[in-house]
Amino acid sequence: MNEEQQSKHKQVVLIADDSSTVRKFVTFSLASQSLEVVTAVDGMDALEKISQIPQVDLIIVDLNMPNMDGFEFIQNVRGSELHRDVPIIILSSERGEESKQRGIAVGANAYIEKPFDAKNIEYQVSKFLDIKKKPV
Amino acid sequence: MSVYDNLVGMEEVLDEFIIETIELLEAVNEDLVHLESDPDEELVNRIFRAFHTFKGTCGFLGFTQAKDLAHVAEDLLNQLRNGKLQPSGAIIDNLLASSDWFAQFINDVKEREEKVYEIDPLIEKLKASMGDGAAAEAEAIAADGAHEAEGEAIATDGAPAAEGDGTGNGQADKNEVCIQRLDGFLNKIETELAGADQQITEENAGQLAGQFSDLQLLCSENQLPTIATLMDYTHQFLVAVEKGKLLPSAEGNVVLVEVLHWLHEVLDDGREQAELQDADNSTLLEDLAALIHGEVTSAAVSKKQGDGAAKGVKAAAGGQTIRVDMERLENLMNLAGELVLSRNQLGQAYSTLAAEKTADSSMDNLDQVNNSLGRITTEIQEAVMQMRMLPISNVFRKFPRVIRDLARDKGKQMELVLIGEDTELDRSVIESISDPLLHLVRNAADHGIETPEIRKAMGKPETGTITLSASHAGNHIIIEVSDDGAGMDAEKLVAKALEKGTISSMEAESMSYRDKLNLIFRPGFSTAAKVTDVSGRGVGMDVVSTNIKKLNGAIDIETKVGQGSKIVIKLPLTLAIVTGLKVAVWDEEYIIPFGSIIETVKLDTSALTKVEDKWVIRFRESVINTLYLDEWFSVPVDKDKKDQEYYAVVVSVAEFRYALVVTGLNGQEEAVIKPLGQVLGRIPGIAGGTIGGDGKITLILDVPELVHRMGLG
Repeated sequence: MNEEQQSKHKQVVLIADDSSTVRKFVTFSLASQSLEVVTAVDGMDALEKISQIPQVDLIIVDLNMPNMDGFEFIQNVRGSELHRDVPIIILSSERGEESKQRGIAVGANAYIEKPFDAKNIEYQVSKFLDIKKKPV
Repeated sequence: MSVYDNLVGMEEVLDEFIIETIELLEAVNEDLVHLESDPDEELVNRIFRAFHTFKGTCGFLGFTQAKDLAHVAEDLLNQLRNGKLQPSGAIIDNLLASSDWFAQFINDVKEREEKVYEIDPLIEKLKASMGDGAAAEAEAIAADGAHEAEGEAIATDGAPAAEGDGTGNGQADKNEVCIQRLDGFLNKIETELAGADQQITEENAGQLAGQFSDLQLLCSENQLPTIATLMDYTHQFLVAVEKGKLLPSAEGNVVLVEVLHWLHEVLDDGREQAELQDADNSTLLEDLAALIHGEVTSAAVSKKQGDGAAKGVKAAAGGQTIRVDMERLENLMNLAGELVLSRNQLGQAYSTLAAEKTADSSMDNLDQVNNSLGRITTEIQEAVMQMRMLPISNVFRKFPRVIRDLARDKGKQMELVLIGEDTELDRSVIESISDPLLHLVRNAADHGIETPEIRKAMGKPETGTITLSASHAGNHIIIEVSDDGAGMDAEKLVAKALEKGTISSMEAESMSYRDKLNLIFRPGFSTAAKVTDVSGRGVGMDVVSTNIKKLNGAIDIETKVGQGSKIVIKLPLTLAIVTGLKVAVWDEEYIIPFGSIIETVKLDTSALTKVEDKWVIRFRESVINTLYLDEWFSVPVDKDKKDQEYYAVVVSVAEFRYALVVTGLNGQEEAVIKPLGQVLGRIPGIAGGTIGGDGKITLILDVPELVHRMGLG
């Protein structure tokens, strides 16, 4: 890493999923990128986390979570002053158009269906963040 | 290509998957057993989410069969979630079987084994439950003809029976389901209240309010609008208490009890007439309205609201955890131990210096630093210990499932009561206590609790109770496993042992009551005619005793024929720090861990006699083996000294008792156990050493090994 990159602020990605395996997997998928990854265990936790950090560049969120689900979380983010423009990717194993449509309706920018692979995650993230893409 | 080839480089993710799945499975087991007796929406949601997570994670890791099974289970749970199905015994059975399958599967993943599993029958069963709940239940019972009694047990234990899959099977079924759900809510509310001495408090009001809100919903859904209104009023009243707008009061408590009482009457009428009728109780409504409007003064309100806000913050901040490698914790623990020793030495050095030097400001400073270092060290040590502490619920949580399966299997009715689940103890102790406890609980269920027929004939309640409790007593934890079953007959045990050749008739004659009961801990001794397949791994009571011994613990039996048994286990809270009694053996000192000590007595050496080359002493009706510590450790004895006083320290090793003879009792000592190091290696009967404040090393006795080495164990 050269000095110029080092002095630049790392881009921050928030991952909200109640499964620790998924959190680890997404973190792992983005490990080769110079990103700062923040994780949250549900929508409520995620809201709290982003309220504590000044800058969030991308949010990756599951739909089915306890306490506050993905839809409600996205609505909250879109309704907030601070983060309403942050791109949001839904990561879900809910099949079917319905939840996809609903997700987009409440303000998500992209939708990844499980089972997903590391490359797909990286690709989707690269649409929104300035990251180096691995050669395919 | 193996599924694991695709996961190369992802070991971390795979390990996380294993940990998460195991944790979720434990919760699923617990929740499923709970769900059977108490159909609760949040429970279903939690179980649903677990299988949903399995579906997702197994999917992207490439475990196709696991994903498929999780998918079907998820679908079934979805039907439970939206009320299309009720959790019948058969459905719970199938979901538990799925959870068992996942446990097996995750074990294989741990070993990186890829197998093709025979999962179609299980998937078929799950699908069948979905197709028609009632048919599935009937099928399960028919296939299991041997346990007809158990079918009744399910129907009476409060869980909704399978009739009525919610898709419009007729008014009678719907009525039945509604009554049972109402009954479930009432039970929950009453348990909640019983736990709070029938008092409404700010703490439980929220919970209760939630239940009444659910009740209101249930009533309006079932065309009971007048009852629903009363539920709504009760809900409003409780919310006011929760928010601090109303203070908890005796009047409020009474009205709530009356509401519950009245609901029971409505339910009873509903059962009798096979139709739940809407009913009106204007007196209660007026009482509630009066309560709701009689708000407290504004000063009290603002104070209460302040409290509420503070509580909210606390709840939000709590519950964050990270996982730490055990090895790092061990290391920190050792360092904290070293720090304690250095602190002690510093304290000693300071005292010496203070005695020589006149006080001046630099000495004052040193004194202060010394004091604060002492305080901080103690706190660090406690904090590190606490990090290793886990609540015993980690072990207890397995047992409801065990009891449920056993009850269904044996056609028995039993209830497991858990007390003191929050009691914390060292992780290493938790791990070692898990199997012995499991065995004791199975034993109580298998051999202790009688069949409903026998219990009824004896005038006992048909449902047997097994109680598992944990509590702290000083530096120890006391765990009790008790049952209200058949109890044990000491004489029968002796007869059995004689028959098996475990003891000789001469031995039998000299046995005390305690000794006779302790026979159950002998290897190869089992009170049941045949070993049942319940335990599955053939652990006997002797293994329980061995494990407890390893932990420096003691075990005790209390039993009464026809009334039940109680096994009491006493264990040290941790294995790293020992509180013990410092004893003198002529010019040397040793520490005997308190965990082993029953009592100390001044010894009249003439009471000692030699039997077959070994010293014994008569102690509280028992003859117990005795050993002179000076003989064993070859301590120089001052033979000329007359009137030397002797003491016997009576110790317990699992169920056995021994006396250790010493020459003095020198008080309590808290010691961090240090291994003796490579040069000395293991010395039989010595657990390790500890360094005192004066730098002197004192040896700590390993009592179980000591008696074993002496050939007494």
